[in-house]
Amino acid sequence: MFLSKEEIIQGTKEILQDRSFYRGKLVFNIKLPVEIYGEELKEEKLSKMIEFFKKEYSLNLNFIQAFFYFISELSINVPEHAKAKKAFLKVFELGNKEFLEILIKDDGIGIKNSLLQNKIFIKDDIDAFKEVFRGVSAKKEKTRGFGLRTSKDIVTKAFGGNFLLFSGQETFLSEQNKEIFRPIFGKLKGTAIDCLVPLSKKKINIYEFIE
Amino acid sequence: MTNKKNLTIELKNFSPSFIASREVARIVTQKLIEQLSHSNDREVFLDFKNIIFVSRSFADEIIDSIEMLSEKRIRVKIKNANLSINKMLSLVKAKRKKILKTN
Repeated sequence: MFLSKEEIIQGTKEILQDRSFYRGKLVFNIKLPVEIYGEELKEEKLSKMIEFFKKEYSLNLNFIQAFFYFISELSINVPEHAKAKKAFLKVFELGNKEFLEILIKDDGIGIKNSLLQNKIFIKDDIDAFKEVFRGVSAKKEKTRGFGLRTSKDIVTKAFGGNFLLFSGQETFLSEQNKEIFRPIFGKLKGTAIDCLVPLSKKKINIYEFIE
Repeated sequence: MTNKKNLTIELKNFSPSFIASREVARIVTQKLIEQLSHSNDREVFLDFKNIIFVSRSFADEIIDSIEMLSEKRIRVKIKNANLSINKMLSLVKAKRKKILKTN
């Protein structure tokens, strides 16, 4: 779904207000744990969501696995990096069950500060985005740092959808063949990730994108 | 959770059928170490029965534990893992090896 400059500006305003970038209908909304050892396992909440979508949209197992993969990776980043007080996951429906939009947002320190706090020196938000998509992690272990990049590739290449990342003063948009940065015209406290995926029955192979 | 024949940890007792977080792997590892401390077994089974999918993060963390136990001469065997779980574990193992080689 190609987005014009105006659509990106308008959509970003919606994201700042915790609403759908594409003005979709809210169908699911959960609070996400912000601490690694929270009271409730992320699995309990994510499984409730998976059950809901399986029934509501008759999704096949292959689709569900791909869907679960990027949602779990992205929501895990909140307790592991964000230092947030609040975080949520909202799902919106677009068209007549044609697309699902998944918005994961927290009020934490943002990507740039997360890297800076771990002594990874970057000059601005764009630089921070580039680093995380290169596989640089704020965590010390070298086997980590692939969640965001893999999720972006699964959303855009496996599903053929759109991947948007908002943090600090920048927006990053990735479509199938295009990646651009745009200023937010304001400042987002924390990080928001918005994924638009078409609800197709095509077979999705996530393994060619997992590193 | 355990039986007398083989020391077995069933993942279904720790999570619903989709496992996302490293946290589950850490809890499972804790349990595993706890069980091993009460036994003379050097082999333990990790049973994936009823688990449909595991995330890359979980796979990375559980492989970390398996490697740590292997250094202590404890062998962890995977049981009842479906194709997608095996694929994920293999992918992560291969990546970890590659990273270790380049370092």
